[in-house]
Amino acid sequence: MVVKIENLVKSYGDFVALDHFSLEIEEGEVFGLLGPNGSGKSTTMNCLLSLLQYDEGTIEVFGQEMKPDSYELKKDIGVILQNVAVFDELNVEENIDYFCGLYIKDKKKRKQLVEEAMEFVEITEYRKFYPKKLSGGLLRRLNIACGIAHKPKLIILDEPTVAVDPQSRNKILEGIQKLNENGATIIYTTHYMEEVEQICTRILIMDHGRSIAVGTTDELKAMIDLGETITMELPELSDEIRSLIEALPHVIGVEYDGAFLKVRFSKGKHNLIRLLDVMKEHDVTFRGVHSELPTLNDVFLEITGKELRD
Amino acid sequence: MLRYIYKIKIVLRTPVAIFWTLVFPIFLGMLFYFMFGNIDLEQQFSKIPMGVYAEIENENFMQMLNEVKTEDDEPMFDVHIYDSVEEADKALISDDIDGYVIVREKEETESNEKDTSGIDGVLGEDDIMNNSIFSNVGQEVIGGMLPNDMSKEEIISWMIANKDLITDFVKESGNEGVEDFDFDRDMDLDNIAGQVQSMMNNTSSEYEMVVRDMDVGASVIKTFLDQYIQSNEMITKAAADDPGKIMKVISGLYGEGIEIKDIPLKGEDKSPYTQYFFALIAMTCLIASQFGLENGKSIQVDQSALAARRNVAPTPKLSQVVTDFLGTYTIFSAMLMIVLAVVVFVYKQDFGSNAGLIVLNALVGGFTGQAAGTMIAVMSSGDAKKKDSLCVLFFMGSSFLSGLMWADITYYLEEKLPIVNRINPATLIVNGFRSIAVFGNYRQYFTNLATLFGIGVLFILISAAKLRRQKYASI
Ligand SMILES: Nc1ncnc2c1ncn2[C@@H]1O[C@H](COP(=O)(O)OP(=O)(O)OP(=O)(O)O)[C@@H](O)[C@H]1O
Ligand SMILES: [Mg+2]
Repeated sequence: MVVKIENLVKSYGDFVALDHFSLEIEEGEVFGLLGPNGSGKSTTMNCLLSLLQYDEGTIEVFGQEMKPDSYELKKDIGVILQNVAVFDELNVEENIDYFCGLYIKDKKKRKQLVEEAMEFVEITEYRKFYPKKLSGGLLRRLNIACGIAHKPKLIILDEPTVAVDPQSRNKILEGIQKLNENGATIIYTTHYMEEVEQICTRILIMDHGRSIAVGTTDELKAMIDLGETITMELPELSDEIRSLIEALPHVIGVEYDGAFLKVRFSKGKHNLIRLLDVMKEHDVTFRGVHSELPTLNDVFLEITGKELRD
Repeated sequence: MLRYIYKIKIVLRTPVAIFWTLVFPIFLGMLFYFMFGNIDLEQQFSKIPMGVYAEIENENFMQMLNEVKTEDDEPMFDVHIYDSVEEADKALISDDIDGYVIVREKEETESNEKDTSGIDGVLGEDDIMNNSIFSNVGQEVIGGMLPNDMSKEEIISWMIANKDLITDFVKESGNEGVEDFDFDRDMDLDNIAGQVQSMMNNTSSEYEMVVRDMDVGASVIKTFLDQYIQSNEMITKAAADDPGKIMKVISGLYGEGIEIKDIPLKGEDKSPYTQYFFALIAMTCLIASQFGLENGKSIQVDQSALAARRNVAPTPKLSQVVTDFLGTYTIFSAMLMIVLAVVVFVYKQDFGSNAGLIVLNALVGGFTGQAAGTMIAVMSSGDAKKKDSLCVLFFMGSSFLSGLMWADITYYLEEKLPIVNRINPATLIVNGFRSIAVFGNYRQYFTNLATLFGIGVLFILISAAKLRRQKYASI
């Protein structure tokens, strides 16, 4: 077990930010911590890192209790927090060297590691740039390089892709997977569904400081009773047809905006065929049909009753 | 070492820091220089014309005035005696004198001793400025006095009666050639008793200084008067506390003459406006608190993401704070050296053979200033803005209490709350400069320096203790 959090309780004054929150992460996982704004993701990470005091619960890392002075444990952890944390007065290379220097004292080894980190996030050609001169995406990549240069066994990333262009984001995600392939266990915090679906082996959905569901993407999807959503292009829709569709089995929602018809089904067989049959019988002309399976977003919506941010 | 070097790089690349510790003091120094610099050296060393209007006789005061010497052993003052205030005013207005002193009988109101040192007179449209930056407090009390009403004969017989004690004191005073002091042979009883008596008498005088504007001459007169009054006050005070201290006074008189003689107007410090530069350096030391403040903030998780990143690393916080401290202190010291060099070589302030001690005092001052900043950052709760304000408050408060803005505050504190004068960093820094450059009092200098350093160390220990225990309830 790389990380084990049990019954963590943390309140800010009267406000309970973490409410008996538990979590277990095995070696080699890319563990996604998914939750909307203010659900307590950062609070969890900060407690895990002993940055924050907490009221109750236990936190273990690599099988040992995590404390502010657990320097041996800290050596093997890499942290990329939500806010970019680099020195504006130091250039790219110097920044990485500085933070790597907090972990690695050997000069030669560190030099090597800094080079590797720069190559890893593909920022080598900007090595002499100061953070103020970097674009948002590059800055995030520098931020990541600062956290991983010492080759930690456990890497904690708190929303590392906020405000990053899609291209940089993909680079970052690929990088994280590569780190994982090289043996690191990853904790990835985000409110972006697609990222989690793309890279995480296991996901925990949290809301209001509580853990709501844990599992692989498929396991989570299986938890909810939601089938496909079928969309077709339709010039017009009479009330009669509409009620016929609504009367079909498994249909839980029909939307029509004058051009597109959207029908949502719960889990069940032959949903598409039944819909097409109705159209054929009444000579309704339509074009471009397609069917979508539920996403994590739907899962999230179903469990928490609200949308994720963005 | 790595972090130390990076810290230095970081500070060097922070223009604001450079501005306040380097550019600002140099700029301010330049203003001083242009304000006072047009006074050429010739004039500076020629006699300063001044007047005295004495309502009552005060031999001692007149004697002192005439005995004050410049570096080249020339009399400092060209003293004119006037028979009335009008006469003196006329001379002042026609620029014959730089200022005059009125000597009158002290009113028997115990409370307002401090007022005697103010410059109260106002003439013409130019308001009188009391811009002596430094206070006179903190000077060592060296002697005691007999009750005021003793006659010369009584003093002589008292001295003879206490022959052995006096001999001991004289020998202990360590002055030159006292090893084979012999009371009967060497003690000029008549002369010493006379001096003692005149010192006693003049403590019942009150002095008022009248100037037109605070030019160099006026500030020299003011400095003299301040010091003269202060020495007298101390003697009276000591007499009240412990009349037995007479021996010490007498031995002092025998060895090096009256203490006031020992305050040759600004001993090594030839330029009367050097005090402004001391104020400037003291201020620069306090500005170092900004460095400390930033250091303190940069390791506190609730202050910045950077601090969080430094906290999750396996290098202990305390070790990181120490390297930061050393880094910024190195920069500060370098800046200070540049400022001092500019003051000495460009603004032509000559610290004489005391230059080393002046530098040492400034370095320790900066250390304590920086330590104060660190402590403020670590001990206060709240956001960065609040910490910044607290630090500015410290800077202003400490400067104010040291008399950098209003000189008389230290007199006032000395009466009401003397402890402030003993522990306020700015006061200690300023007094450190004064004690050597103006008074040539090394013992006071080192006491002062040790206190200043001690306070700095205390600040650091407090900060370290707090940082070690610190955990955050909220980020
Ligand atoms: N210092 C604090 N004082 C009071 N409340 C706080 C503090 N920090 C966080 N909170 C509250 O605790 C809750 C959890 O915050 P947290 O930052 O952990 O959320 P998050 O899941 O990381 O959100 P985001 O996606 O916005 O980063 C939020 O409701 C937040 O308002
Ligand atoms: Mg967060």
